[in-house]
Amino acid sequence: MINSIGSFAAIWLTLWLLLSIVFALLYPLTRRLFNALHPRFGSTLLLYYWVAPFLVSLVSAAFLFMPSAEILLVDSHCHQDCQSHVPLIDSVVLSWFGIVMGSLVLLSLSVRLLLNIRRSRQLRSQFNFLSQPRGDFQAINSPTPLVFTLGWWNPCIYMSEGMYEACSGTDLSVIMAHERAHQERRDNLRMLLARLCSALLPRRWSGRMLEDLQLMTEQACDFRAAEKFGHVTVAETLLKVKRLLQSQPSPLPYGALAFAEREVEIRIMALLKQEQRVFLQSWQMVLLGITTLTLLLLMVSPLHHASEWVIALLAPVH
Amino acid sequence: MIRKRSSSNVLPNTLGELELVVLEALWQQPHLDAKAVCARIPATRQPSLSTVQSALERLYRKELVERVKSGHAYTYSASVSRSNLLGRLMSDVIHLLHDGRLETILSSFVNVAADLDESSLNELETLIARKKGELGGDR
Repeated sequence: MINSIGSFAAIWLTLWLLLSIVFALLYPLTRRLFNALHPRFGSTLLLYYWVAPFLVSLVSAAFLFMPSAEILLVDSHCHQDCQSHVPLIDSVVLSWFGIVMGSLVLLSLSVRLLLNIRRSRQLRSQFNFLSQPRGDFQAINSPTPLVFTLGWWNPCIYMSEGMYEACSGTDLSVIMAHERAHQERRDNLRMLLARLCSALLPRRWSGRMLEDLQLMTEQACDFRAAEKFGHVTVAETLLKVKRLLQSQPSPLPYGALAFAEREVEIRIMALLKQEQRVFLQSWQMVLLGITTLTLLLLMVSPLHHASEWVIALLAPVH
Repeated sequence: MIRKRSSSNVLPNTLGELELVVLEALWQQPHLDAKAVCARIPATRQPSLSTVQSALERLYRKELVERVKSGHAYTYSASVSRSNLLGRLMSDVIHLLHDGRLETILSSFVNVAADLDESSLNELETLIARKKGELGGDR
């Protein structure tokens, strides 16, 4: 039992790490493809791309340890007795090492998740307490112009009086359409998933991906609002809100974040050049899903042999 | 020794639900002792006197209430107004958005933590106007 759990944990973690590195190294090449897509698809596929190393490693490792899958997916080969087998580490020390590492990673992810949940709940209860419901949003009695969506499962929109009073009716409709899109898409949850699933990568590597995902998510919501109000109107509102924010006394040392500096510019340009974005059809998405699943199944056999090879280097094979 | 900020105080003005309720009671009626604060808390969430005392102590340490010794007990008053607290909270949110520490919790319409120079804004305005002209209205 210890051997099985230890082997599973070690193989899963190794796979997750290797796939994360491969996906991160390939990202500069694939990034252009994501950016060429309509943000609705781009943001979803980018999320899948970054969640993939975690999921693929977990599913592949699970397949490796399912004897029924082994018979179907791994080409027949013998070690000593030609029995159906799973790749096992035959060393108590290495098995325990796998268990400890797996537990540490799971524990660290759980702690991060719980801290985020706690922070989100605290923030939400404070804003709920200090704000008043007004239509679809909670009105915050503050002159600082700010509008945001807070929460994961059931996100809520908060808008300050400063923002409400400074915007025209059309601006407010555009802003609310954008924020409602965040609500429906559960974008905060998407960001959290991406952050947790890229936990094995150094911040420097995952940082760019998270910035891209955040930007594409905002673009997806801009485009959703544009379906109702038009791309130019949304671009105008973005610019107007940007000017409004910049007219406020700055609470921050502005200009420290190169990405954020250009964020609105990129979003406005994307709206003005919306016709250049590729819109994926349903059948293309289905085809992509089938291809991914096929590749995943085809990976099981080479992974089985690779695992046995690595294990053989470290300890005798079962 | 440099102490790393713990995640529990990532938001400097983070307050628990009871602390907010206690503050609300003090906003409505200042100069209350713990018993009077306890009596003003809605019956639906009636906490014990010692729990309210602990909440008042925490608020005092966070410098959100002032207290004056009156006989054996303290009387408390809020040292921060509702709007002032909201302002602090908004400022925290803006700062944390800037650090990227809240990006998984909330999304804001426009990034509040970055500045674009006036010429870039003007350029964007020209581009929008040109596009609008080309389309003759986008709708």
